[in-house]
Amino acid sequence: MPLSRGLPGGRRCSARPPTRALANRSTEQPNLGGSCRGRRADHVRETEHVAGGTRDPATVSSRRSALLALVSSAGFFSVPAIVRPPGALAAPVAVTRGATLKSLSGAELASVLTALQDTIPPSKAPVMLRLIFHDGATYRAASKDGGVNGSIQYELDRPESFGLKRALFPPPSVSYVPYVTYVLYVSSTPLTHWPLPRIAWWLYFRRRECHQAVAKQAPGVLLC
Amino acid sequence: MSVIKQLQSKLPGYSFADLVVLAAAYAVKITNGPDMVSSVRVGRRDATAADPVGRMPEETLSAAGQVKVFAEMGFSTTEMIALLGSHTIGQKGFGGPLEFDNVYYQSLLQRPWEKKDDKMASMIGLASDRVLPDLKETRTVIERFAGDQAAFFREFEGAFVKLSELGCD
Repeated sequence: MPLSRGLPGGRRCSARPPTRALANRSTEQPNLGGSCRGRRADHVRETEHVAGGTRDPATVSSRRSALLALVSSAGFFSVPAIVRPPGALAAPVAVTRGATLKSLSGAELASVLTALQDTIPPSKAPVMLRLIFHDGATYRAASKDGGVNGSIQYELDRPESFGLKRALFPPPSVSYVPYVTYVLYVSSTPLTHWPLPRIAWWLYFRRRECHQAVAKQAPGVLLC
Repeated sequence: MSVIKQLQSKLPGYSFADLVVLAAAYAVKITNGPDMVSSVRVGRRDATAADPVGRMPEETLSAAGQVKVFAEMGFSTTEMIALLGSHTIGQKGFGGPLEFDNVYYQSLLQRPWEKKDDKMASMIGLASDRVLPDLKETRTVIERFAGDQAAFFREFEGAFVKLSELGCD
């Protein structure tokens, strides 16, 4: 039985053995730099272990086994199954059937245009136009699969996508100048000029002065 | 984070596929092509895996080979030639890289890459672009668009909207 996302503890798991499509996804997905992708692949591997029985049950935490026992009981998902969005847990296939297309309203158009203006500089126009063709040209009328379905994000490592990935992922906007400046400053300054040693030196001398003053006024008094 | 993901963070209600479409329509608009941002529709559902491999038309295809692949997607020859006019923007050498116009078709007929003395001209176009006028049915459309930019824009808009809804049945 497919089991839902978002179990307590922030982990996701599925009691269902991975479908072929799922396994394919874990191998086909390019590394897009997002940490969640790696995690998803881990989750698939983890599920395989559990399904294949290679994991020692004793090593599974008691909370987890309790959860697994709970969700494997038959009635647990009968109610959520009704409210679940259709297709949310279906085996992933690269088809976008069932889409209901609609035109943008005036207000939607305005917000879309603002976001586009803020995100896409004119220099990116050619690659944006190339992107829709690479996403959509996988469509075949005979088999009614492929098409403009966003699958291009999983196809960026294909030879025909050469150049798309680099154009889609702009260099980080973080400037390294502050770090470089800091490293230069630190490496060019004597150790004794660094903030922390300076405080340490100051405390050391203050303490010594204090000791000397006390020793003068009250000889024999021991200070630690 | 990809440009589309950045868009998605600003427009959370739209699928990745919708934003690919809107970004492409916007790209044509800001390069002085037809304004299609308001004519495309939204509501696509994202696939969760890659599409089958080996479906993109290859650069080595002849004009007839390209017509065949585009027909498999459901495009007519006119729609194919209109869509390929997208190569007018970018670094392929058909006029200004950020100017969406019909210079692409004019260049295809002039064949500047055959000039022996011009190194830059020899770089213009992909192999698949250069062979397009080889076939009578493709050449007729190229000639029409080369002489009539408004006709190119009209046909492009229709073909683009069709492309944007492939697989959304």
